[in-house]
Amino acid sequence: MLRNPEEIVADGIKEFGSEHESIMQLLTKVNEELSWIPTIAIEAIAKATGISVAEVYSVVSFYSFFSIEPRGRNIVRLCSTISCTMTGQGKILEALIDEFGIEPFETTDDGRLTIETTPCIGLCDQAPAMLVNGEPHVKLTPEKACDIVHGLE
Amino acid sequence: MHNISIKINDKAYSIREGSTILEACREVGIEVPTLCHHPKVNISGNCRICVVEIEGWNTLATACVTPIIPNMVVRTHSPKVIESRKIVANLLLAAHNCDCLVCDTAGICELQDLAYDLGIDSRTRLFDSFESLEEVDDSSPVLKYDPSKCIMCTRCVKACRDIQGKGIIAVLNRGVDMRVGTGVNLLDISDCDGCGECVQICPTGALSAKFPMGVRSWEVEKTRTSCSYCGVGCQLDMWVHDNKLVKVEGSDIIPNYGSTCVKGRYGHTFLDSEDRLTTPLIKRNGEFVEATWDEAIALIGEKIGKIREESGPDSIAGLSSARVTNEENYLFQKMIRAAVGTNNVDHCARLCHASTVAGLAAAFGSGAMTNSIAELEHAKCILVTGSNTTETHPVIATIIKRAVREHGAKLIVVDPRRIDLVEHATLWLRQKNGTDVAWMNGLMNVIISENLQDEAYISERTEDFEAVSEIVKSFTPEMVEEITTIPAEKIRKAARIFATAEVSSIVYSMGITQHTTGTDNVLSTANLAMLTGNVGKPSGGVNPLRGQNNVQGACDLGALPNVYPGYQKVADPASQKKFEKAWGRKLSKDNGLTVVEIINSLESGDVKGLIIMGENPMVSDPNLNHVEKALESAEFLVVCDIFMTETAEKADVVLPAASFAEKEGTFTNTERRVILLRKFLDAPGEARPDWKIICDLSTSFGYPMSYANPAEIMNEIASVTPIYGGMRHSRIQDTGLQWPCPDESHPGTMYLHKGEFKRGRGKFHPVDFIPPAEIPDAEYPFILSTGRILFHYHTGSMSRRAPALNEYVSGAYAEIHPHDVDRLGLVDGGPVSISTRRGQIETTVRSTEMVAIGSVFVPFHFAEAAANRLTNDALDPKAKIPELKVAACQVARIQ
Amino acid sequence: MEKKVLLAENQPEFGAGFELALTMSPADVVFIVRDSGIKGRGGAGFPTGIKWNLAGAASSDVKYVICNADEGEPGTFKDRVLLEKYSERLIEGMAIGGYAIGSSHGIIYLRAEYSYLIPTIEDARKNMIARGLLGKNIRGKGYDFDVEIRTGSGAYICGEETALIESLEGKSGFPRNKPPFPVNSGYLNKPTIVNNVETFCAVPHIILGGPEWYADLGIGDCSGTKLFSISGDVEKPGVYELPMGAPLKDLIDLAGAGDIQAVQVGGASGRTIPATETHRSLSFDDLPPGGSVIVFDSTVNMLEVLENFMEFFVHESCGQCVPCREGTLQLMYAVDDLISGDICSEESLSDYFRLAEAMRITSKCGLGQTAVNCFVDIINNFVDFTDECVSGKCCCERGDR
Ligand SMILES: Cc1cc2nc3c(=O)[nH]c(=O)nc-3n(C[C@H](O)[C@H](O)[C@H](O)COP(=O)(O)O)c2cc1C
Ligand code: SF4
Ligand code: FES
Repeated sequence: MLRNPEEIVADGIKEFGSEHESIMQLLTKVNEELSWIPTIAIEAIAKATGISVAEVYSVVSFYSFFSIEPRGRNIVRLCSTISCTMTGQGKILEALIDEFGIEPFETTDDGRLTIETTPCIGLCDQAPAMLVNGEPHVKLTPEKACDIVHGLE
Repeated sequence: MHNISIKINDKAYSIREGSTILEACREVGIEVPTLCHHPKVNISGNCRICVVEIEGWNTLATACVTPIIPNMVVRTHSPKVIESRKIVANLLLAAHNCDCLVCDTAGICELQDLAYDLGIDSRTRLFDSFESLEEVDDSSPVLKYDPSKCIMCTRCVKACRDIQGKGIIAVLNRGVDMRVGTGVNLLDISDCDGCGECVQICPTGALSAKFPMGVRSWEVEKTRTSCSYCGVGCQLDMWVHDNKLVKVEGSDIIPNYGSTCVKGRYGHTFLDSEDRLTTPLIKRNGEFVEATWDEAIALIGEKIGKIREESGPDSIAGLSSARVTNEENYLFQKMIRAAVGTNNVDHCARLCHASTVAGLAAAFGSGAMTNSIAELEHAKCILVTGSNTTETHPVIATIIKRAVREHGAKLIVVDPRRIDLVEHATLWLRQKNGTDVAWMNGLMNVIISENLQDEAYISERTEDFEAVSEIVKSFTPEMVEEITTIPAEKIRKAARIFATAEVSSIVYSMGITQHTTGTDNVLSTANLAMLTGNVGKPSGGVNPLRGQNNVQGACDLGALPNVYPGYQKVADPASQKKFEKAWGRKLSKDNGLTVVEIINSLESGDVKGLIIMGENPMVSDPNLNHVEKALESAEFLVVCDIFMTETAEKADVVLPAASFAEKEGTFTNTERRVILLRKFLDAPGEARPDWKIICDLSTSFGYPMSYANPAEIMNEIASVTPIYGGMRHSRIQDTGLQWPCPDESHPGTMYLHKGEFKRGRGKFHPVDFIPPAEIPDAEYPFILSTGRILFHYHTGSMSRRAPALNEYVSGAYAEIHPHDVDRLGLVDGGPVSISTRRGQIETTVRSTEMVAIGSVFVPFHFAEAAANRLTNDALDPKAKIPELKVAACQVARIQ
Repeated sequence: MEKKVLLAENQPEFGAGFELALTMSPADVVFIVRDSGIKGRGGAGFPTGIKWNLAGAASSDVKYVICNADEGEPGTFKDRVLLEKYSERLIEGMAIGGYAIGSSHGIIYLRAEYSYLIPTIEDARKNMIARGLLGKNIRGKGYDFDVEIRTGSGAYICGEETALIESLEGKSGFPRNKPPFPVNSGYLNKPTIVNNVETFCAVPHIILGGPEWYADLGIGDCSGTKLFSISGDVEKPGVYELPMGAPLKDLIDLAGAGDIQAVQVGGASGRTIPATETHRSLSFDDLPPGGSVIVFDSTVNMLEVLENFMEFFVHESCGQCVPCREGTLQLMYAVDDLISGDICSEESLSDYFRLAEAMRITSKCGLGQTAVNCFVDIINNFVDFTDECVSGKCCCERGDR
């Protein structure tokens, strides 16, 4: 059961405090729990930290890992930088698109999966690589990548 | 800070340490172009147009943010610099929607100027434009944002956050997707209140006002004048084309430094309203018919003359106005006093700050703001009570917010409503309406029992302290909690913050004054300030914010029944002699009647003839049903106004006046600053400035008056009014002058009571708590209070004729707590009936936690649901101010 | 040849360097670091001793030690390896830094992409606490120090130290104007040192081995050893430790590469050189050694590499300053036009070279200043306009140029 955003924020404030400098941690917490950051969470954070809604929203929209659109329970981030593209990232992306029927930055209708591409994730020695819910998966092939994603809840 | 030597463009200069390169260049007259830099907001260094070359650096430096260091060698126009500026400008142009041909900002666009200066034309443009044109957000009633013209200088974002303290817009996204916005909302459903600070600071046409209509910047004439709305007295630059106001900008000068509120900037469209009065009107058989000036003046002269002859001068009264100029107020009271021969002259200050004038005069010897607006920014503790400053004095609110945000001041708000400033406050004390003496005595109790008072100050500069220290003894925080419902602990905290801050200022407004205990409340603020040694120094003091644009001036110039200009007492024979000599007439030695007394006397028949200049008691005065009857029973009523107001409807003769836009003169703003009005429009039809009308009326009463211009009137004022002794129009062309200003060489007075109080020693007055005249009971269980809102002004005769303001708020409403809304089966936005022992109105529910449970707030601007049909005309015994802030009422569903 | 210090099999025990430092005065610690000649390993190469000296001299009750673990430069993964295996060493280095400048607060700013390393770093922290090397009154010397981990959220620019500080303060990662520099006014406007993971990891070794020993590890004027992450067309991609100043060739030989067309040193913002220049040295005077080396064989279309990098910069520019925000976009379009054949002469590129130079000298931070490197290098070194049209289908014949 997903917790309500305001509850997550309230919890976060207990953990990180309500200073301006807690905002990244609060947002990260909501983003990790819900896969995205709903407006009510932004409003709750703004209220607690005494910063305006627009300013909190500004921070959210700056960082690629935050999203104000609902995303899937599982987030796949496929590296799209050169060491990975040279070792077959393109084929993997194609395979994922075919297999799951969504383009990058889209979410499956059942809300299970969002696929994103992202700049270098520091696994170039084991390219091509991706992060699935933050965990690294390396030396991918199209089959291996699809298997991993199929194995998700 | 000492000077250091640097070289710019091969010349040596000695410049103040700590300057930026840009400041250095500007100081020595070297032009360096900028875009993102603006002196009002924090440095940004984003546009990179101001780059300069510095010897020994391998990149260029941005002049706007780089401090000078000794022996720096700077080149501001080397080939490398010019090349870089050109490239950067070309980049901006490639990303910019260069619709200059149809852009309102053409001619005043900083990007256009830059391209011109760098000589970039379409043949030498370097890069293609890839801008896809995003939609314009034009949802706000007053402004629009066009992302395709935005150069992301972020000046607007900083202006909204740092100058206005709002932070409604922010930078969204990053990189090429960057834009300015409110976050998830469009402008109209954000908290944007349309102050337009962002529009004024935008260098291009990205943020623009909807208000300038199809006129190019070079087709206008600009005139600086003073705002006609509130007592802040903002200086405005009026852009006029073809006798039409097309744009308003805040002037970059004291007191507002470019800022304004939504009314000042977008609320002056009433000036060319079709409803303006253009000819004199005489009522014949219940109908107004047009008349010539000669006819109208002759008729008034005859009627007033007759009443005077038959019933004596005291059967005539005049209501002067806080809306007209100082010169006109002076002439008006002179006319009533000298030509008619009575002191029956008053104006609406009676309804807002009579208790301030009475209370502060008793305590300090002078009843005005002790300090200046700008000083608030540097107070270390600001106690705001009974003032919803954000709505009533918007520009002052921004200064209070800056004091908190930028300078770390502590803000204590004491208010029954959760007003906007609460969001910025260190502490919010929510008192029960009408219990102000109690909490202030409570604060003093804590200060004295914790020994936090300023002993030296009390003994050196004040008197009668013991009486106060005695009376506050019983006001323990616990006892005060019982009366006010403010938790005792908060009383203690507030007292400690207030007493221990380096310098504390009290800011109040009608929430303090409009009570039967108004004078007591004011005396309490004075006690509190003196107890902590806060009067007579910069940024401290007691600062009543005056509501109307010229309420200060109307009081100063004697539009009051008990004082001549400059608060010289009617009861003082010497003063009376002085004015008899100056005006060449015998003057009445009796104090005249006050506003509410005049209304009462109309009904009783003691007053028969009434002349009203620019006031609308039919909406502004308490217990309107009563006022209506009174005006109807007048034998002869003259109203002089710019619109056919609810009051003018009742008149026998209506005279069309020129508005502030169409005449010269001065206002005195809330900080005692006399500021200039300049004419920028021609009056419609036959409308005339009030000062000319008064001259004609007075002449028709057998006391000829004639002046060449308002400057001449000011010279006469100066000759009889010591606090205005040095005021001359010629002296106040730019920044105005603050009274007291006794002579022509005097620079004016920033804050009062320095070294010594006006009355010698500051006088403590012991005040006991007295409950409001009317308290809720079983029959009338709710507490009603009334007040103003940002988007409208006073009786709405001006603001309700400004379409933009009506888009924000178009009609009356009543704020009711959601709990009560539910309990009474009301719906948000639905109808509701509110009644008191005096009257009833029907209006719309606004469900909000702004008000406490059991309380109702109704703005008083709306004649159709006039709050003043409900209010209590019970008077403060000393100042005769009615209790507009507390009444007991019923709230009921309308079936 | 490899010279392993940070990655050596047999390393001094974690904490030994810190314990030794605690026996010295803070000023002496700063002098040792200064005399070792170590320059920052995060790319900019600022002398660490000078930075610490300035922060140490700044007067303030509260100061901060920040570890820049935002490793985002494409092709760089050396800090990841250090974090995986040597988190204790990192924390030890930060504790020494704190002792040297008078700070009790350490913050590790970890890129969100490395969040999976949080448990590893937390364990290291707990070990240090268990051994009495973090916490209050460490070793009875009256010195307190602890570290906390905070994460970014997908923004390369937050590797720039002032953007990183803004991010830690809960704001968007817009680099600040300098001065003031973080050593005077950094996190929460307090004096702050920001150093790379590798820099901190080297410090304990420097304390233990002494400044002369460390300086001598390098070649010529260069001091110490340096970690390189190498990937691309090589047999054994990975992290190698070489003396600073070593020729690039040595590194490539270690990783094994035959057919080389181009080598990129220092990531997307570094330099891209042809095979003929691999004799050049990995040092701040020659090929600035960011930490990433990518090898491209002759099958790679270097324009596509360039396109990949320009897209990266457009995506990662914070956008606050004009030359970088709009300039990276224009350069990306120029590359697209080169690929499509819309641009096919050196002459039609001249405006873009002017742009590149303007970006280099007017951008606010390192991103915009160095984003042009790959553009300039790849076009100068790998695009031959005299031959055939770069697109392969000569558009010059279309007669519109
Ligand atoms: C765009 C940009 C990205 C950067 N990314 C990193 C990074 O990921 N890690 C890092 O240590 N330094 C990075 N830096 C360098 C830092 O600004 C700073 O110089 C460094 O953290 C200082 O540490 P050092 O002296 O130990 O190298 C980056 C600089 C720029 C301009
Ligand atoms: S150079 Fe780029 S990343 Fe750096 S401040 Fe400017 S826009 Fe931001
Ligand atoms: S004016 Fe200096 S960078 Fe914009």
